[in-house]
Amino acid sequence: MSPQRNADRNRGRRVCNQGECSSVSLLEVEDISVRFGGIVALSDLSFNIEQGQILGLIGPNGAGKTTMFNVISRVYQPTHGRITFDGSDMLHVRPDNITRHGVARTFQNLALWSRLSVIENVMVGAHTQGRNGFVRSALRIGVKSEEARLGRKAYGILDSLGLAHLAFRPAAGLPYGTLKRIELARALASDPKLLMLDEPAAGLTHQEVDELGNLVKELRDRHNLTVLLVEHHMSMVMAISDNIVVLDFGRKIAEGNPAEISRDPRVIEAYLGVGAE
Amino acid sequence: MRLSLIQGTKQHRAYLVGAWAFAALVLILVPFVRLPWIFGNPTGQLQNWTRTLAFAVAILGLNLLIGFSGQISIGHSAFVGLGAYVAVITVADHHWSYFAALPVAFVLCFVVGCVVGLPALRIKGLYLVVVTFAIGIVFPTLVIRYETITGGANGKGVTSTIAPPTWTSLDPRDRMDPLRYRYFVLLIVAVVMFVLARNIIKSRAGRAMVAQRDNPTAAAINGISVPINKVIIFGLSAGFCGVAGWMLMVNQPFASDISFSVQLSITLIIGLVLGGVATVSGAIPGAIVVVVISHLFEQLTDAKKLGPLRMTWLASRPGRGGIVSMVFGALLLIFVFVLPGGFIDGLRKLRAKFVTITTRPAWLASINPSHSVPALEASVVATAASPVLADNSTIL
Amino acid sequence: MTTALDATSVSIEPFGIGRKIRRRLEEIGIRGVAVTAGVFVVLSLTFVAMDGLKLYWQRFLDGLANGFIYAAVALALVLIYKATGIINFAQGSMAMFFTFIAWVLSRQQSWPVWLAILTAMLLSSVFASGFERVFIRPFDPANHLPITIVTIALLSLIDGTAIYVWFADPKAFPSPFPSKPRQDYVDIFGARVFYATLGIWITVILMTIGVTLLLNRTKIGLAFRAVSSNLESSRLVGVNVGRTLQFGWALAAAIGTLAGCLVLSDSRTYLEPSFMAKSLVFAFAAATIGGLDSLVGAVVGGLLVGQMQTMIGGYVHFIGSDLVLATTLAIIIIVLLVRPSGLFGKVRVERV
Ligand SMILES: Nc1ncnc2c1ncn2[C@@H]1O[C@H](COP(=O)(O)OP(=O)(O)OP(=O)(O)O)[C@@H](O)[C@H]1O
Ligand SMILES: [Mg+2]
Repeated sequence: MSPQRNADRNRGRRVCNQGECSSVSLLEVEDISVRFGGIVALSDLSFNIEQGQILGLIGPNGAGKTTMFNVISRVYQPTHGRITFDGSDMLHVRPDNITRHGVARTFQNLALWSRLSVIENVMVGAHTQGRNGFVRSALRIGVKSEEARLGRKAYGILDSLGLAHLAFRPAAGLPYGTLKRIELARALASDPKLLMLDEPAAGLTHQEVDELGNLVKELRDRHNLTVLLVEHHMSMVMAISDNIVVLDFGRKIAEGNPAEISRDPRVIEAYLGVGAE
Repeated sequence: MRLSLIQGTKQHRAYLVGAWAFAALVLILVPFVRLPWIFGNPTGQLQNWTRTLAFAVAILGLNLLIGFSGQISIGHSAFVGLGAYVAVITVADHHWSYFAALPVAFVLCFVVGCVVGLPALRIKGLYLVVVTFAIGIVFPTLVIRYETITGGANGKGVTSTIAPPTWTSLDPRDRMDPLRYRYFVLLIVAVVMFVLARNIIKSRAGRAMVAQRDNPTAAAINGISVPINKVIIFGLSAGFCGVAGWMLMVNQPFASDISFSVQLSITLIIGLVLGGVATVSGAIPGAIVVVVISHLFEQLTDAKKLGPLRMTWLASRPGRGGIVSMVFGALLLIFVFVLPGGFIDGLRKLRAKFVTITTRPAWLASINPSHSVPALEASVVATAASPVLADNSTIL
Repeated sequence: MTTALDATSVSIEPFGIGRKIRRRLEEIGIRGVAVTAGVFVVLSLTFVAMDGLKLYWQRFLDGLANGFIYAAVALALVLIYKATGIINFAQGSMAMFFTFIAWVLSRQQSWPVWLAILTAMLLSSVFASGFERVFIRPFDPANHLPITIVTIALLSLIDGTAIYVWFADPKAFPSPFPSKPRQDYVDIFGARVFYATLGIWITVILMTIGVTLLLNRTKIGLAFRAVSSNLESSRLVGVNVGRTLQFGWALAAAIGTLAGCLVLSDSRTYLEPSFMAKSLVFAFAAATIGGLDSLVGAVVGGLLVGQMQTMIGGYVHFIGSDLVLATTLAIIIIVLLVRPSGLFGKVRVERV
């Protein structure tokens, strides 16, 4: 085990009680099952993410990765199971409250607002940090300072992702990779503890994928994030994940560090569809 | 020649001041300019302009709902009616002043609007239109049913009106002066409503509205409570329509069941689309068009005063009242296909040919004064302004 | 984009004991049906206790006639909603207009009534298909706002035209059913049922059977069901979506026209440009209660609303017949709050 990885391991938050120390998970997924009519999208899936980890969630198309995202972000209601995030039961949180609990996500099929400008898209990400509702907005009580605060924050994030020059143009018509980055910016704007990225590298060139991998690590360190990463670019997942969970047909077929996963026969079988002798 | 302005610079400020001063001048001159080829007599003309103000506020309210939050209602005639009846009933039967009735009209319509919009808490999509349609149909039947309070089909009027106070040195017994005074009073009310709407649109609440309209799931994930937002906007738009109803009564204090039928809702929607879906200023051209057209064709239904158009061939037709609806329907179809962004979108495209304005909010100076934004190409400006009616916004 | 799912879908999944059984029940909407039936029986017994069985029976049968008409109009609304996800506000106006055409054919051209009605139905289908092709199809079916606005434009256009051509004074519509004075009814267990009423029942039942056969036994019907359950997938497997939706519009228009003629077969109702408005509201209520995307729901909802109307008018005196519309509105709101997709509607889940 490399010293670097060891350091990462130690990032796990420790709770010590009468001399006994144990590492506490930020997110605990227990026995989650989701069905759509006849399709079982997830069955009895369990895994944990520790504070500060990057967890790669991989699996062939239709394995249920996006469904898992949707369950954590409360878009889908699971048939059964439990999700505990930072000590609280996520399944009793409304979707519009997940950012307040510190969960942010990006979408596999972009979910940006084409009629808003890039910076406005990011400012919606910081929605929960504002407090101007209809009344205060209508009367412009504290609107100017709040808009400035959110605007400066969004601009700063865009700048750190190299997007500042696009801030005031509409999101419509920008290249796919850029839009994916804007989604990342929007997710960061909510100051999350857990960042969930659904195929952030889709549509990027090899070199860009590597850059993105480094960026994710850097962001994790800078913002003290925990990351749940779904990605089909294996090189990126292997390079930056501390831990990997492999799904196939809604079941967990393997879990471990990148080295273990890349040797696991079941994983190879699931990906290649043949026996891996 | 193309004028290029940067937000916050002196030139930009001068441009804004000029534009607003021009608008203010037009609005102030309106009661003093005669347009005999549209309106028969001067009092009728002024009352129609005042009516336009009320329609503009109603269309604005409806636009908050339809344009900015993406819910459709064809029942807002009921809220205009509710506001109107609040005004006539309190003033005629309880001797309130008109100004005391104004906040009551707004608040009552807001509350009723929220209650009626409650199903939005549970349902997604367009289900709510069913409710709004029912409200539009039900309201006139309620007016008839509670005849003792509302005057029923005979209508209810008020004899007292808002009269000009002495300091204005307007003559209360003059034919025009009280009308001018009421025009300016309602102008102030309308301006306040427009400013409130604009403030809401250009803030966190407005961003939330547009976000939940174009992608409710993404909006929710980012912390916007979509159902509550929808209910409040429904109430808010109802409140705006209530104020519009009050304004109609200040202008011509008479209400009856037929003035607030679903037909009125449809007229408002037509004004909304003609002016521009999801624009604040579109309510003004929209209101002008529907008021002027209704006025012109209303005269047709009255065989004695055929008005300036003098379409004698129509005067003998008993069904001539149908012409307005036909014209409105045709206009609506034409606009949805030819100019889905309405007048305002047309104006913006025209303006883009001569003036470009580069966004640079004031706060930017404190973190990156050197931020240089490349000027947007015309095609980018065009996509930015893509009308809500024209394309599916969730697809980038 | 929303995807239709079986009612097993995730968001209404009940928790706890007996989960599986309850899920099965949810699937076919039994719980809602049971509650509704229970309420209906209890209220019926109360009403019988109030004014006796005979009067109740008479009102029940009267309500059935109205109910069948609402069911027919609701069916037309639901057909369009199922296929396109929009509510066609012009449905009532289209029905009104082509009922006028039937009137012109039978009264002014002296055609036999039924031939006139069938011709009007055919013409309305042709009109609706043409309208769909020219004004609806250019829009992205997922973008509901412009399509709804187009239907509002159509409503305004048709209403205006009807007023212009036929003015607002009421006209008598020739009854398609036997209507000799004093010999125009049968006695069913002591209640008087007019032939016209009987005719409405039979016509709507036959029509419903016809629509069911059309949807279940023909190729275009299969395509229609495929498109309404999943538009994108149907397109992918090669269904001609545009043509199929056009079929939906045509069918809905024909049903609406028939319903319009049936409304008028009651000799107390006259033909004038706004005669469909009331039926339309009740049909909306019916469709909402049944579930906007369920054909069965439309029929059941229509019958329920028909009963509601006569019973409230007849028994609940403090509400009375003036407030039936207002009560209907309240019921729509409550139904939408308690069971947002109606008794038989499918719960749709957003796919992201
Ligand atoms: N809303 C839904 N309705 C019906 N089926 C769904 C829905 N969402 C997901 N599914 C099904 O659940 C299964 C898992 O889908 P999911 O999108 O989670 O896969 P994924 O692992 O993200 O695949 P990909 O790598 O292609 O993104 C698939 O069979 C999919 O068709
Ligand atoms: Mg996926």
